[in-house]
Amino acid sequence: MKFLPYSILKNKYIFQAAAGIFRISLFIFLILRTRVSADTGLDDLLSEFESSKPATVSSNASPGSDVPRRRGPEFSASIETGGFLPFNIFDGKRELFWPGRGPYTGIQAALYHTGKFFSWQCEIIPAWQRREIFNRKKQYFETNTFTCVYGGQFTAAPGDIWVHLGSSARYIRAGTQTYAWGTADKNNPSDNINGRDYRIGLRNEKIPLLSVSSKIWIHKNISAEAVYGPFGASDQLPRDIAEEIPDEIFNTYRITNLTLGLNNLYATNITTYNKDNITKSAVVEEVPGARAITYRYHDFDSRNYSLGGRISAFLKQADISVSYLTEKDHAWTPVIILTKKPITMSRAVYSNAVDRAVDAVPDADLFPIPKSMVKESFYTNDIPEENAYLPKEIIFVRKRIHRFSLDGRTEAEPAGLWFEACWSQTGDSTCTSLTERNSLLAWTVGADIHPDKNDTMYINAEYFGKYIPQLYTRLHTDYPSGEPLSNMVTNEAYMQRYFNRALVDASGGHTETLLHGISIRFSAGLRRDTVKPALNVVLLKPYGYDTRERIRPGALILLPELSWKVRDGLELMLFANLAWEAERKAGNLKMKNWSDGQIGWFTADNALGLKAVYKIKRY
Amino acid sequence: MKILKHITLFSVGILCFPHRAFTKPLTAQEIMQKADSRPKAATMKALAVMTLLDQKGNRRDRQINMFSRRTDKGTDSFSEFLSPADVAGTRFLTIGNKTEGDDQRLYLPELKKVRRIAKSGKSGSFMGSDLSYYDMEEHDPDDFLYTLLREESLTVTRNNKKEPVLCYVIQGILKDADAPYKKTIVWTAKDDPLVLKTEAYDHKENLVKTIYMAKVTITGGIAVTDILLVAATDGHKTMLTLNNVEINRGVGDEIFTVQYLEK
Repeated sequence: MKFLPYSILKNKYIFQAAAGIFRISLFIFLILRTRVSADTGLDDLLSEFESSKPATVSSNASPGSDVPRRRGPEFSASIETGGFLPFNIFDGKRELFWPGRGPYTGIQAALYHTGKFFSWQCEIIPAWQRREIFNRKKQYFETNTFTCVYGGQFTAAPGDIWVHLGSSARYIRAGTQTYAWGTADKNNPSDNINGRDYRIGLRNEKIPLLSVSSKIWIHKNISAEAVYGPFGASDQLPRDIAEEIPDEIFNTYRITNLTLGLNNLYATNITTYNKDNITKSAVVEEVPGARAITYRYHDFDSRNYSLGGRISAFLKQADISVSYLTEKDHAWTPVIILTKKPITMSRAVYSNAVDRAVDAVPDADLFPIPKSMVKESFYTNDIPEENAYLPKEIIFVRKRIHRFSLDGRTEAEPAGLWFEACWSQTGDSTCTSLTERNSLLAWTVGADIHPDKNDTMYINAEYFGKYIPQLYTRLHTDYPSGEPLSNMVTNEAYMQRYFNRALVDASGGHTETLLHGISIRFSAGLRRDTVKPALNVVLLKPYGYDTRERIRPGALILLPELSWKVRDGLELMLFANLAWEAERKAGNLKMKNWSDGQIGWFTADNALGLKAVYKIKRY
Repeated sequence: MKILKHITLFSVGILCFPHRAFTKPLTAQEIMQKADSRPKAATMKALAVMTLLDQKGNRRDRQINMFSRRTDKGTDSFSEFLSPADVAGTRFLTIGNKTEGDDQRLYLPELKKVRRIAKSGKSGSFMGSDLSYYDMEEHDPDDFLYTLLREESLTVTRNNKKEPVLCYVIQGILKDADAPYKKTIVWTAKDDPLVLKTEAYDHKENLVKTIYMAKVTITGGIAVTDILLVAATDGHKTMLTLNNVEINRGVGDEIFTVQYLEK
């Protein structure tokens, strides 16, 4: 094909004629288009479908088969990219700062086959992400300080990779699997089988568990399910509990100044003297010691197994499930081993103390013994030794926990209703042990409704909470400033009790007896659900915590988002993670993003985010 | 008569033609009762393509595997979206119950959960289409108060032959005040009580959508039709084309269970 020479365009008459033809064509096109739109006859309506560009639809699925599903290997993939912009409005100085960007890109690919009796799936989730890593220290003993580190890292995590044998009525499935127990929409207290990746903040994700599962439908509406994970599940946390143990715990003591009281020092004969009832008063300083904190947990230890079962009934009136799960607690429990550590003192300090004490004794009391001889006798004795009971080592372990859950879902026209509760039983059945974390009850009660006739609006509300019976919350009452009394450091029982009280529950996030709140989500499906604005508001309120340390009036979390389905498979989402906790300390009320209670563990910074997801699927 | 079942994806029974004319004038209620009492397919399988077309001509196609069966209580149906990728794997189950109301559940693969659909959500768009969950339920003719408005000719395509069909135009007022519609106006063929067109009106009596039986094909006495829905508000359209239809060849009981949703 030969292109028209540019010289033709330079001919203004030809150019004007061409422009005129274009305008006329456009006019005719608009007229025709208007006609088609104005005529609502069935033929015209059908012609609109015929003239529109067909979208790609391809499948070898056969509706006439007994298995009305995908056949043969299928491939699906989603490409996700986006970024978040963390910021912190209330950083103590009430200044806005923007520490940096956090872009991430991930490709999730899955290959699977679904047959009548045999199926398999292989899913890989490689991703390049910048994770939020919180590094907090001196949490329990001094003013909270923390730093946030944003680091990029490449991950290639396995997704759901399993083989499935059996029919829909009974099957066994082995591999890495993701489970969804519980009927509540947002907060699922009974959904504990999988670990979670909390490094990505409030919108955490489940980690597939290497496990064998089986499901049997004992009636068309009643199923029994069993899960066995030989090595248990672990969370990915954005914080290192061990790092947060303050160095000071491992400090030893040294006497820098000693005052001896020799009030009963007197000569008993020409060469001997009485030195009973010597009093001592020492100035002690701390000497940094070696940190000894270890995690005692092996990822592939069969003693970490998870074992659970669930019975579900899908009835006309309601869907109800009961479940039991025994697993290693996802949170760490510290085992604190104390040892006698000598309170050291140099000979010079001791000699000076002896000199001053002996010199203060009246000469007549020691006559005829010269004071120099008395001093010498003290010098030749061993330096008196005392010991403090301090941590030799802290070992973080994950203890076995038993979870009993009940959930249900029904309708009370026009709303949907659900409840879910889970009792997590630790080894401390009476909630009195200081070496075990206390058991806890978690619950969710919720309802959802479409308030408008067209059902474009949607409201979902949940009341949820956690209750820990007999949680110890008097650390700053029983121990001034939260620290042990210096004159009690030689008491082993006292010190063991102190360290257990300070660390055992707090390490597992048990910092309040009752933490409850409401979560309300508003959303609207516009343009046939292709555009969805949504706002999730969460209000949290703690009760029964250590109020001598600080007052925590509550927290607010806002999760606004706007998603737009640009076309089939392609979705854009603009979102924000906003969280603040109020804190009153020494009479001053301030808002901050982060807190050391359960509320603010994963909300170090607020963030704005943009996400794009494109999904494809091929047979 | 399931007044909206002509837009029900799986209630193909309404499309059966008894091939007999009425012998005496009938009331509107009797016409609709006759339409409801026509023989119906016991089971049905089909591979459907749901095409969505907005006013700008943007087209989106969804491929759906569909199954239905009739029981003493009503019509059960099961459908699974095969494409596109972002909705593939979504499954929808209706257990029909004329007296107590249908039991509807949705399986969302991303959540890996089966969700009951509450009544307040049944006016919502079904997977972005002009169909609502309510449209996909069965409704008894006794749920309506019918009035014969007029007789009118409607051009329809039956067995690939375009022909004018004289219809009763009947207004049906829904007795249930909580229903998403206040009334419907249906065009029912006079020579055979087949509903060929329906207009649905909201509680302010504004037209919400119009449903056409686009192409009617009769095979072995059973009528199969493509369905076209047009939204009155924005002109958005949904075309449901049934392919590879199998009538009365049996469908496994296990398909209409929650366990099949979760498979």
